[in-house]
Order: sequence, then C-alpha cells, then structure tokens
Amino acid sequence: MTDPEIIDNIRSGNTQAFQLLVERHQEMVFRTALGFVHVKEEAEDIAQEVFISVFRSMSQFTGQSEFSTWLYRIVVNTSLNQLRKKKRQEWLQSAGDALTQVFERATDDKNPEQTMLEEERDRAVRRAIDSLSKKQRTALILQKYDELSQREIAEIMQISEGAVEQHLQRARQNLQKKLAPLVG
Amino acid sequence: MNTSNYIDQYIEKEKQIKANPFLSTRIMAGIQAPGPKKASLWQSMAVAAGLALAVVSGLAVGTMYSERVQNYAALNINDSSMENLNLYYNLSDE
Repeated sequence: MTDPEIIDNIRSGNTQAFQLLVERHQEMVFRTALGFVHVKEEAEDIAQEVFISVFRSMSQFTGQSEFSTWLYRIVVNTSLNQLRKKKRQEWLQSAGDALTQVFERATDDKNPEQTMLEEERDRAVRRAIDSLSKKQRTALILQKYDELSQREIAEIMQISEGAVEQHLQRARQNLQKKLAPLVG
Repeated sequence: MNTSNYIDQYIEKEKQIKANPFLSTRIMAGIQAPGPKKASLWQSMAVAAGLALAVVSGLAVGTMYSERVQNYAALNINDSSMENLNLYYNLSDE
C-alpha cells in the first residue's frame, strides 16, 4: 500500500491503518529527532508527538508534496520547538554525561584514556553541532542523518537549492572552526 | 584525523542508536487516548467569577465585625446616703 492509499484509508475512518504509516516512517522520524536532541528518550518523545500531531492534522495534508516531505517538516519544527522548551541547563547535561560515563566505563573494554578522549571528542562535536544556526543545523542533519539530496532538503525547508548549499557550506566552515582545537 | 572525520564518526555512532521496539505501540496508544480537554471560555469565566465572589464575600464578612463601643451612662445620684452607681456599671464590664 502506498502512503496516499493509507492516508485515504485513515481519512475514511480506519485508525488502525495509521499504524502502517507509523511503522513505515518511525525510524526516519526518530533518527531526525535524535540528530537535534542527541538523547534517545527525548527523540522517542518527539516521535510520539510528531505522529500524534500528524494524525490530528491529517485533513491539512493536501497531497501537493509527498507525505514524507510534509512529515520531515513536522519533525524539524517539533524538534526545534523541543530545543526551545528544553529547560535543562548545560551543566545538568554535562553532569548527566559524567554520570553516564561513570556507570558505563566499568564495562568498557577499551583503554580508559582512549575512552575518555573519545567521549571528550564526542562532546565537543555535539556542542559544535548544537551551536549552529537553526537553518545550518537543519540542513546538516537532513543531509548527514537522513542522507537526503540538496533538492529534497530544499523542498523540506522550503528554500532554494542554492540556499541549502550555502547553509551546508557555512555549517561545515563553522564546525571546522569550532573543532580546530581537537585536531591540534 | 581531520574534523570532518570526527563529525562523521560521531554521526555514524548516533545513527546506530535504535528506537524502543514498542515505540509504534506507544504512539498508537497516544493516538487512541482522548486528547487534553480544553475548558470553554464560559467555563473559565464562571470559575473566575466564582473565585471573585468568594473573595468579595470574605472581605464583606470580615468588615462587618465592629468592636462594641459601650457608652457608659454614669448614674450619678447625688445623695449623700447612696453610693455612686457608676462604680457598678464599670465593674460589670470587667
């Protein structure tokens, strides 16, 4: 069954048909949300919010674009809203990371120094990605996490392909600048 | 290793994280649950009016109390054989 067929089914009252849509797209939604929030549980919460929102506003989907394009837009907006609402302070995040490291390190087979270096590097990369502007971050996540083409990204972000390329270029430059100390 | 490699490595690591296998069940449960009920404007206004009425009533009842002021009428019988009855009035109020 194609997405439009499932949507017609849902609109005619078959709520269970929505499960097909969820199973088909949940991985994509989760992966995109994870790119924004970096925390599995938060990404799952966002995924739930996205699908509930999609279900309730199904009548607003006119079919002018593909369902996946519309869905991507909702995921991006919901993720960005979640980041805005996020009350967790940065120090809490780093405290949480430190605790996670304490509990996970005991079972890690790697050299502790190497593990610590990798974790510090991951934290630096995460911080650098999070410091990008909304548009640069969105373009980067859609390209790197979802492996979308610039044309597809342009359709989702409702901007030109040239603008997408510009955002990606600036994102790469900003990341290189911020991560330069890592390379040494 | 350059910064691009670090970024790609980090992203590949995050992409390996899988969602809870019961996520779709959770989503369907969320869809089938009734949505949050929003109170109508009239309901909100009724509650606000009720609260205002309670506050005003409380204030009104509170200001109704006033301390009893007794005017002592001194009974002065100026009779050398009788005591001044004013004393009795004062004692009764103690």
